Amino acid sequence: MNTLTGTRLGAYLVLAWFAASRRRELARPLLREQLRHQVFNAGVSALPVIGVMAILTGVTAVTQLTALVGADSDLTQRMLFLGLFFELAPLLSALVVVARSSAGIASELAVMNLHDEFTTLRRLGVPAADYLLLPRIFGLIIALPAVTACFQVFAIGSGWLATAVLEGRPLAETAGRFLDLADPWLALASLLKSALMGAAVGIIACHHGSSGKGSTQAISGAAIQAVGTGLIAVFVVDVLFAVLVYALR
Amino acid sequence: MSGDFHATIDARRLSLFDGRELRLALSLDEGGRHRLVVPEAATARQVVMALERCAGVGVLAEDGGLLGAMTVAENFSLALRYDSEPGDSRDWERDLETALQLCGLPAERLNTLGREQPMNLDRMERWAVGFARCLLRPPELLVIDRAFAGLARRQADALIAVEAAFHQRNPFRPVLFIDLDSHELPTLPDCRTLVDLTELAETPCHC
Repeated sequence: MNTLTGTRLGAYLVLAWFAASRRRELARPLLREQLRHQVFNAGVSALPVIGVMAILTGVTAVTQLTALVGADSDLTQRMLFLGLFFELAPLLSALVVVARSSAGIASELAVMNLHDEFTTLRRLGVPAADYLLLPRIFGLIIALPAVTACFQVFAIGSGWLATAVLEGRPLAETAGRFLDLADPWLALASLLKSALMGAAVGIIACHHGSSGKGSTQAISGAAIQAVGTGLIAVFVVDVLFAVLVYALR
Repeated sequence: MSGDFHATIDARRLSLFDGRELRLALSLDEGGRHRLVVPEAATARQVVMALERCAGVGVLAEDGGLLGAMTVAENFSLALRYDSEPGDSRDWERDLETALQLCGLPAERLNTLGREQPMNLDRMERWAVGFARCLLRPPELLVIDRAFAGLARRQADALIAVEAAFHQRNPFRPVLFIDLDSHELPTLPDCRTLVDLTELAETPCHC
């Protein structure tokens, strides 16, 4: 057990276990306030970037698919669903959140560590781990699926418009075909994938921010570690889900 | 001095040990000021860490113990609101203003203080805010950690005058000053105990 917890993966698992076991503390008014704040920072404030990315990605995907496979709308819609809706939307949303939030969380916690504010919180009678880490981890678990859902809506909407323009079909027909071909379980799975990505990114950022040495160099180090490892974790979760979907089919 | 400090509370008496040697014994029910002089900052940190492991011991750091990312009002209310119920309608801002008045801050400063960040306050103001928190939520034993380090005599006298408010409101709760050994250490009026770890001797207070 010491060997496990001594590794970085072990530390992430310990923090994940801590978050799961202490989740009921989020019922406290102050922690709920912090959670709302984190969801806003990680999710709502990312929507402009997500919206633009999603629209451009949807149009690009449809034009490329049409150029590749021709005007077969059913194939285009099926590939839109699997490639864009299920695969790219959670992945790109997670990458945006890693770039925006992961470094911010890690550096914020590292600065607090530098100024010994964890001790200050403890002296105030406020559990530092509950107050600082739980809202950030669960904030990303909530925000990332919501951001992904927005990405999917914008991307698919722009994809339908592009299909309607390129193939000259009515928009309602295009949308109807997409919804006929869409698998609701895969749609739910994409949100679950996003939630797991959010958990991974939050846990990694919180670990690196709170565990570094109290020095100014540790601040940048924490941010770099959080972003780098967060990116890897996002792709690991993505691959695991891809393998799972393949195995279940 | 071994540097292995640990503290225990038994029958309402706090005992601070250095290894196996008893260095300080305080009653938690007799109030008053007490002083522990240490030779260096590392020793002060060890002593504070040992003391704060005991239930009911509160520590007031030299910088007031404020969180940099919050305003003064948020800092003040954090500890008070953490355990509050959702429907608690207590007016924390009014409590802050009352406590800060007790700390001797001028009225015109009180209007703006709550909205400021700790980094924009001077040292005495930061300490006063931290002390105001202790006034409203007094611990069984208040440990004031190196409050006089780097202060001018006038500021030290003002700090002692402000600290008197704690004894007026809580006459049976003791305050322990932990100070670094210095030739400019201000005199503590009515100090009941002086323990000087630099000399490893416990003497009746002549301060």
